[in-house]
Amino acid sequence: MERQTGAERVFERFYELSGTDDPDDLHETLNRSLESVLRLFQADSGSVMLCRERRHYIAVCRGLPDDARDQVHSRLDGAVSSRVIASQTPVVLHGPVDPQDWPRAIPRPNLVSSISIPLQNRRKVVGLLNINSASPNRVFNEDEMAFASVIAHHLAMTIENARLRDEAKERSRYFSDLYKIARTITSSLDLDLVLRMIAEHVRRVIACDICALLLHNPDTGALQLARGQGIPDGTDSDYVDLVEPAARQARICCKLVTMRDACLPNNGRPASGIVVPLIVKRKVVGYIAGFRSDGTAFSRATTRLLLGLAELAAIAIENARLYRRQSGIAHITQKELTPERFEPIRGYEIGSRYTPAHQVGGDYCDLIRINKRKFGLVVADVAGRNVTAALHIAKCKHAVRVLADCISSPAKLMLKLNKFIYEHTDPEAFISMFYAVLDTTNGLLTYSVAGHEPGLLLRAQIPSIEQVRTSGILLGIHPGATFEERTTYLHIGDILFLYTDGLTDALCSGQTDGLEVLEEAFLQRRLEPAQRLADNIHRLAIGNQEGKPPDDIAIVTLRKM
Amino acid sequence: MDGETEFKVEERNGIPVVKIVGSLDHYNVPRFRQIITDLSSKGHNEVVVDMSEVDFMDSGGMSGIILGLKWLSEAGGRLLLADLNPRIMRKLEISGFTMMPDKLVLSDSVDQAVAAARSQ
Repeated sequence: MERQTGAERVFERFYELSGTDDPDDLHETLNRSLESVLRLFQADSGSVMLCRERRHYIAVCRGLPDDARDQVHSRLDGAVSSRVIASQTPVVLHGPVDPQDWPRAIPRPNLVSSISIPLQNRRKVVGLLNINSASPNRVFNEDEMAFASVIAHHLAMTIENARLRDEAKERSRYFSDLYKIARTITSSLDLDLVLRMIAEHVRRVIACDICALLLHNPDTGALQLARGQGIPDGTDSDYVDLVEPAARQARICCKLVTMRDACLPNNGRPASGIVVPLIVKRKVVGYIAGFRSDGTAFSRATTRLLLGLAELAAIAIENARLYRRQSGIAHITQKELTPERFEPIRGYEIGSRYTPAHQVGGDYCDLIRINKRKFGLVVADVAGRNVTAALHIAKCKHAVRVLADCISSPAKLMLKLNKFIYEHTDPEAFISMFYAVLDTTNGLLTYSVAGHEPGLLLRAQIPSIEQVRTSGILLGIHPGATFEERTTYLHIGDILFLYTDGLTDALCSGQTDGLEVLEEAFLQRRLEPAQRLADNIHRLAIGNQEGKPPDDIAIVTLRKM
Repeated sequence: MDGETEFKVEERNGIPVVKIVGSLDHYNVPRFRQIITDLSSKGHNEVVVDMSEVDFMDSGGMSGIILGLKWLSEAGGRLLLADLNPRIMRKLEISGFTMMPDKLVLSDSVDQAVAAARSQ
């Protein structure tokens, strides 16, 4: 009866503790469980061993001398416990073990009787329970072994629950870490920034002193150090040489390769290294290499996280490279499309200034020589960025040039251009434009505006600013749109100031309207040469935005001399 | 503008109202376009957009508005923008959007816009 009551208490304790969330509680649970079992069986000593990753070790023990515990640790391959675990069969032993029955078993001179029971969960051995008696009056029998087996079953469930909890926590940590890494390295398309962020993550994730990101040159295939952290100056090529053999192996098998006793340049001590290929669409584009100068090995959890990081890094690097190539093409295209300076117009001063908000912008300006005395002046804001914007600018610019050659009326030109843009660009594409034709013989300016900021005309005689505008919707969104045109004359000293909305946005601060600021600045600087006027207004806008405007800024100034 | 732009969709008197908190620009306009597409596929062709908490709109945001009004007008409806701040209102006026009342309506308040909208 007493034994049953004691067993019930043990069972109750198992059930109570098996559902705990505290990872350290497994040790406490095993300790208390062992204590209860030893008391129940009136045993002198015992232990609980755990099996993890093909090795087993003593998790808790009571009553065992230190040297016995160490012996068990070091000779597990020949010990009783190993055989019981391997056979998954409990045993009761009496007295010292017979070397013929148990070759290589550890001598047990002080033990009179012992029970060794595998702890099994779904036919998988997760540990071992040992109960020992050193008293001649206490000899275990088969019935007690059967009872101990029942307890062992519950103990096994507790151990397995704890293992599953640990696994779940590790998985959660793994995905949480990967999510944080993904968020940062995919937040930019700037290749240098992406490489820097990856290298920082690698060092943190695998706790290494040195990190090297090596990429294959897309044209030559040569391996180059793209980013290094912890690499001493002047040793870049040494690290490439160091990583190359492992990289070759990683490339062939498309798997992670570890390096033992790696000889780091400028460091005599053997280091541990790890090389992971960066794979995009089954093609190896580079490698992540990490080194620990103290030679410590990389754990499974660490390598698993590094593999996940490498997958994300490969995509982020490839995207950044593609963006860099695209931007390069768009940048070259834009340089061709937007001249830095216009050709001079006799009798007039002309200035211009353009700043894209990103590598390639969507604003453009143009000066078209229609004939000997007439010029077309264009300032436009094209929707889109980078390659899209460059393509739209190209279409628009060349369409205007062709139309300007045969259509003298700005309003009629806008009509044709609108239809062209509507039919030959994406549905969400649109262009705002100020188009004017200047007759240099008499200063006649004929203009039409399509959804664009009004021009500013400063009269020299009475320094005042007129807004130059007509009604007209953005080009490309309504095929049946109509446009109007107006005329005015430029007299000597008059200045026409054209711009895009990026300028007024940049000049805007708090409640102050950007156009008011622009008009005031224009008035103050009206005596400056046309180019200096454009530069100074531009500097004022950039200064407001600490050098980085949110939108493109284009300015054209024209003064009649 | 720091932080991500939020989009909230609710219904008033059978009219969908999309509230935007933040900026409407190149980065988040795909989300706006998706919302309009989803509402359109559910049979709504009059959509009110509450712009009271939109503090910045660039050409990307403008393209989202344009696409939205195109889709809705093709389905016989309109896009109704409500409570715009003076800067954004000025952009839309300069762009000529006030010249298309059959496709785009600019209202002073969400209530006004909902009242002007035709429910399905």
